[in-house]
Amino acid sequence: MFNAWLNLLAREVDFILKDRVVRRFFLIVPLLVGLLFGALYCRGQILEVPTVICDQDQSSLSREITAAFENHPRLQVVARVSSYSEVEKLIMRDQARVGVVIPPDLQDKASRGEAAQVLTIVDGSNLINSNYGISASSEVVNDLSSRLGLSLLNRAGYFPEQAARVSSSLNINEEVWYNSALSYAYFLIFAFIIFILQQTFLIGSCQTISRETANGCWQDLKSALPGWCLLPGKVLPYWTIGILQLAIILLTGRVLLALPVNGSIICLLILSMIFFAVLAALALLVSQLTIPLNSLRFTMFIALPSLALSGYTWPLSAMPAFVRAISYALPLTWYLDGFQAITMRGAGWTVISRPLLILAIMLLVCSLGNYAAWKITNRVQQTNIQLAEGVNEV
Amino acid sequence: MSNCSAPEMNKWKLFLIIQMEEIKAVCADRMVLGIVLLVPAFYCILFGLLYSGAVLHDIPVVVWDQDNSSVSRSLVENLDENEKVKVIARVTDMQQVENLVQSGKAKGALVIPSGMARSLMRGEPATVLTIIDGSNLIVAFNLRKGMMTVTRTFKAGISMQLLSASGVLSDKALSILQAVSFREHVWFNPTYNYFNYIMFGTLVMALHQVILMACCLVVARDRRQGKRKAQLEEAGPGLLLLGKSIPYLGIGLAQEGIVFLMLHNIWGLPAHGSVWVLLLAGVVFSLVVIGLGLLLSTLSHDEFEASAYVMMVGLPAFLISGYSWPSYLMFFPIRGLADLLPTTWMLQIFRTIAVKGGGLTLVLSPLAVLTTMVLVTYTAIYYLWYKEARQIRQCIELG
Repeated sequence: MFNAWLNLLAREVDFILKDRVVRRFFLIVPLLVGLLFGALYCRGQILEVPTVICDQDQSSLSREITAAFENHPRLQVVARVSSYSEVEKLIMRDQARVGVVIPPDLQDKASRGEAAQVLTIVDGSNLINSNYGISASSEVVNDLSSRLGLSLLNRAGYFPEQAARVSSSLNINEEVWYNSALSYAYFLIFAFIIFILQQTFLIGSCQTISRETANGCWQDLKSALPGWCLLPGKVLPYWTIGILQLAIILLTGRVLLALPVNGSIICLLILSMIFFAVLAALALLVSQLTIPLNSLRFTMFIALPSLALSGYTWPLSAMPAFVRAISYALPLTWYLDGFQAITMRGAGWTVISRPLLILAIMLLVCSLGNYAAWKITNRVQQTNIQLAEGVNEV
Repeated sequence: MSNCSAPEMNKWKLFLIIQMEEIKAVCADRMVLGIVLLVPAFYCILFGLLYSGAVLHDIPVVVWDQDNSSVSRSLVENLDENEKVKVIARVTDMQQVENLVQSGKAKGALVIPSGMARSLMRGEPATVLTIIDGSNLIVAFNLRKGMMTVTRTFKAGISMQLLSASGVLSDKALSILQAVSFREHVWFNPTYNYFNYIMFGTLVMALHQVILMACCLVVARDRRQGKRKAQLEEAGPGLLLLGKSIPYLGIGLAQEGIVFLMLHNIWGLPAHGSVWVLLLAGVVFSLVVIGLGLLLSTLSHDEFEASAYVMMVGLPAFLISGYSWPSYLMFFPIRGLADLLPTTWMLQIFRTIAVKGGGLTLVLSPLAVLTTMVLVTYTAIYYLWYKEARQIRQCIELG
């Protein structure tokens, strides 16, 4: 029986290597997409948010403000204009994402102690851009707010040394943990690649049985091996290759793009092994029940919305309970939860025990589903054979 | 179609029959019918619910207040009152802060040093530490904004309080000190509403995928069912191409209308600009996608292969389109690749018109690019189908 099992594995590997679609999607696409995402987010953070400045005051105070925006490393002044409508036009045309409008009488008013307002505008239509824009402009504004008043006092002839000391006595330091540069590369590359890996894994493995049924070979395989041997054997090669691909991608990401893989590799390996086992069991279940094209559609129906639903980008706590329930039922949700805890936050067993346990339960449920599907398809087949024999006899 | 006699058949009748057969084929495959009819509406509802939170509130934060003075307590209160932040725990050492942030229970922390109030009274420097978990950038940016607003206001308030109390400056000097203020405007999406940001992109991608999904099957299915030869022979490549495209254009436009109405009227997604310009863009975009689907179907081995390609293109096409990560930061070959995809241009049109309220003149160049794409794709398909028809004729003549 062991030889028959080895033959089964060899047969599946042969199929993976020879079938055009499976070879392309399962073996080549993940690596190509990995490269694409790596190249896409290699800059990591937005350092040059295009900024337009409209200085209608042209005073020393307004120049101080302009210089503060110019000197910020995340902002790049791309235009200086003289009217508000020009700022509007540039932002509307996507040529600038941040605008600074300094009113004409700023210095005069401020020197008299009258309220004067500088306007900062951020284009909110692309939240990724605007996050960096607002973050940078807030940093400039925070810095200027404490400096400008003192600078004005100096100009007005007051010598507020004690005032300067008092107003700068409270400092606010900020630390960003786990992703100090607020880099999108750290945040997204691995998650997107895992999502694609899940898709290619399912495309490759979802037809493992439906293909055999369509070719008429399934009966022979069934008579050669018992179910507990045959079913795992059919997906074992996919599972092994999936894990290897993940390892290659993690290694490449770590070495080429310096992406974080901080925690225990053993934790990560065990979590990944269980995750791929859940996917394999799911593909097997769908494959037992439908024809190849529909197996592909069913698995993609589960896979496609899974990243948005996983809570990896938009947090689970902000989703309604009904959607959260769907999210909890998807293996990717738990895998990404554990994956991020290990790779970015360097977490260990205590933190990942929950995702690990839930994935293990999912594996058990899918395995039981496979067992039930195996029994049902066998019974249907036997009934069909009996019916056919009955018809023949008649 | 195969049972109609070609020579005497009126071309227009044939044209109608091709369309009817295509609609029948879509209806016959229950899964395709389900995808075409239900998926856009389903995704509208699912993603609508998913992002219905729209604006992040109450991001959990832990506080380690070593000072425990009235000043430090008022800072913690200010933080808790900010709508973006919620103080979930008060701890007594750094280890507890680390544990809560590492386990993801808290997304940030505020650490107030001991003796802060006393130092401030004496005019000595004191440093408050804010910690932000940067592992989820959507949460991190929102939290950072909330924390910065609170600390900035607090700092300004404390300074003024101390200056007034110390009597260092006259009232006039105090008003000069706080004369300049900054006002922040966020245009087009003032509340950083994630729903408003992501839904238009999701809508365009869902339509793209559904049209592609249905069209990629057309030629492969006809070949499998053995209808292809008769169709090419009787109708010729030009008429067949037109007949195959029109039903899907109808489906695409109907879907666009339904989804747009659902998002705008049910979910309240703000949409500006002219509906006619959006409709025009929708027609051109649908034609490009139909063309790409038919091209893929012509070149694929079978329906499984064509469908697998379609499943893979969605996410990468969205990500490189420039809708989320700005295209000027992309590595140039990727920018080139993105320019070849219709979604890049359609999303640009959508954002300019529906999000920013721009007019037709602002989207002329993306519209021109999409139109060129229609011409190129259809010419390529026509050429391939023409070649296939010629080969069929040659086979018939030879055999």
